[in-house]
Amino acid sequence: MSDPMTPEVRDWMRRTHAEPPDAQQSARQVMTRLPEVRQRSRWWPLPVLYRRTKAPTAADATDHQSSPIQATNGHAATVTGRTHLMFSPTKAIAVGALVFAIGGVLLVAEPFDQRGDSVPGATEAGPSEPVPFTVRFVPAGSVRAPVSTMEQGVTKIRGDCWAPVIVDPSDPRLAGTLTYCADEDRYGPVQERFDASTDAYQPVGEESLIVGNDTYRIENAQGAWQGSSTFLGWKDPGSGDMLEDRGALVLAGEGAYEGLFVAMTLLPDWSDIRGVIFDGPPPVAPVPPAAE
Amino acid sequence: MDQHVVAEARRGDTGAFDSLVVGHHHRLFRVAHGILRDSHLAEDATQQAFLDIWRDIRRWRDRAKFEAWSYRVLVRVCHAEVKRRRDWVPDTELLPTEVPLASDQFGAVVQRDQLERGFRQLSLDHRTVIVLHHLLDMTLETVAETLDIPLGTAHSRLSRAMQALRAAMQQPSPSTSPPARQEVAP
Repeated sequence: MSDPMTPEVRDWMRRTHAEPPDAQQSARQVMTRLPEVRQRSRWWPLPVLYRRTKAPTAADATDHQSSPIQATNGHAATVTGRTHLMFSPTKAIAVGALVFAIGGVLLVAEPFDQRGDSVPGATEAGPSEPVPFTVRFVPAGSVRAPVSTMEQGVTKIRGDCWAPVIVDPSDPRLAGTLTYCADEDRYGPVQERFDASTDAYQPVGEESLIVGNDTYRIENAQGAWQGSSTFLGWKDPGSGDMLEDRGALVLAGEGAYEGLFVAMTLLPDWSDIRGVIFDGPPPVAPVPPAAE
Repeated sequence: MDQHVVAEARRGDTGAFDSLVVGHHHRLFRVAHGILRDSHLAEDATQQAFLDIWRDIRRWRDRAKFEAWSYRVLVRVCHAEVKRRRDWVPDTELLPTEVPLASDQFGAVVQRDQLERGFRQLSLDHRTVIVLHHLLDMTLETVAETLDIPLGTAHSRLSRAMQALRAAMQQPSPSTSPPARQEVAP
């Protein structure tokens, strides 16, 4: 206020103030154009990405960098991208064999000729009809703070848990409290930048890639549902938006819901979730035939 | 605006968003007009800001006030509008000249005209700080917080803007004498 021009400027601004148009009419015009606007959904339901995590320091990065490769031709070698494969065929075969072995053990423990539906006198009731449902999850408060570390250029976020709110479940069996936990690895130069237009921290970097696993658990007085899924996020080079793929999620029932399963599609922002509650487990993942 | 309406709008309730538009329209229009100095452009920018708010409201993180965020969106739209219409000329309202102006009134008009010219030469960033600080009476701390800029930047923008306005005021006006009444031929 020490500037002698301040009163003049203030007076000028107030005197030249234009009368605003009718707000109702303007609102009508805005609302008319609203259907043309595609709402940007929350690109990622994990609130962790919107929060400042402890950014890895330069020391962290240098500490874990591999030693430079000695060039044999006198030129300086430049290593770009990852230097090892994310996918290990050996591990995949080992996991497949393990699943197969567990299935075999279960089969031995309960042979076909002793299963309930073949025991004389057992009720012949078939599985109940699948029940479709809709529901929404709204991100809400943190239950457990994550720990963020950097290992060989990969940011690893572990132990993040949230309590999203279950909104409008069309089937009362899905009402209750939801706990959502996610662990994720971020590859590439993923850094967070504050985007004032959305008032949120958005990831930046040309090769941002996020791979994670999450677990959903819904609990109510009758029982619980729990299941896990794998998600993948990457930066669209065209738009710069973060895209994601979540596929479907299967939850297994507990308590009164024992034997029931929930399968649902997952949209990026947990809006308009659709699914079905069905009796009996989904088919076990098939094992491909061994290569000749 | 109460948090409930904003929360409902975030969930996609168009009725709630309609209430938001009605409730916040004058506030945003006032700022848009202050920055752009053009009623039509200001209304366009205000409406576009609401459309941008609708587009991003689900992404917007609920940790800042809706008002502050809406100002940020509006300022961004104002930048875009001006960039889009390079040939834009503000529709400054002319004072009626039917009544002869006294010399002091004329002096005031000249002063306003010089301010108008000086203001139009400012960058939008500088205009924005002046509008938020001098028209909305925001403290510079609030201006910095609203625009998400450091406090020092807000101070320097205001200082430079005022310097530029002062320089504009010291420039000679194109017309230095009161306008004579036009004789209209019968």
